[in-house]
Amino acid sequence: MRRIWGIKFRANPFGTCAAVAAILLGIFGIVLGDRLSQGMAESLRSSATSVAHIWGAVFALGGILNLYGLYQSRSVIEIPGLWLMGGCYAFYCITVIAGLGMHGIAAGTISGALTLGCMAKALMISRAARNVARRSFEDHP
Amino acid sequence: MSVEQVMVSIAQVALGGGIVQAILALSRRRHDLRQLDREADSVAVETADRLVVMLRDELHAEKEEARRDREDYNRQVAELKAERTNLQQQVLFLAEKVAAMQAELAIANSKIASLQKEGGTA
Repeated sequence: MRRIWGIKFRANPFGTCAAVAAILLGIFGIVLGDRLSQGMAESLRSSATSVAHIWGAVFALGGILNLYGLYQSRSVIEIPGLWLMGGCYAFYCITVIAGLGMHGIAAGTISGALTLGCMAKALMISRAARNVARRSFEDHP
Repeated sequence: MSVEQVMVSIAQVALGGGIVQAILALSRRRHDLRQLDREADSVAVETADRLVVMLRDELHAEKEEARRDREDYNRQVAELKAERTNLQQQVLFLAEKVAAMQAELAIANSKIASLQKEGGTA
């Protein structure tokens, strides 16, 4: 089992780390709320705590689904995980820049890049699935 | 509405959009995604099968070559042994001849000695 996970990790090291980061950030968000990110606290103001908890829960769920789908080779699970992760990375990117201005550029850039990565992967897998479905329909109408 | 509020609204839309896309993927595209997974699994199995067949063929070819090399080696060893036996027999034959000639030489020397003795007394 450990060997299989090792092989899967070697095939997807970056994807694994992005998903693990999402899970960790999500857990921190659930536990710490808006104390996790000053940018989020500054931009969301009064609703920061509740929104941060929700964001954390969605983020952790997305990371878990993505990781599970990646390691079990199940796109049905991986794609929703990617969308949830992408949405949460985008949320963090925008709130940290809105809340901290120039001081949030670095964190915003990194999370923005991860947002684009998640979306691109989800779209590519979806396109591949549509092509397979179209080919299958053409072969067996 | 300030720029910050607009950005926060956009962030909320982004988060909500992600959740909606995730639900859509689960509800509408589940069948296509399952088909993609099945095809990926079967491609992986086919590739593994082909690899196994290729490795098995290579193994048979190597075994055949090793068997042929072993047969060549055994044949060469047998030829060399036969040649060695032949040379040993020749050596024996020549040794016998040398012994016979040495015996004749000894007889001839004793005859010469006896003739010399007869010549001396006469």
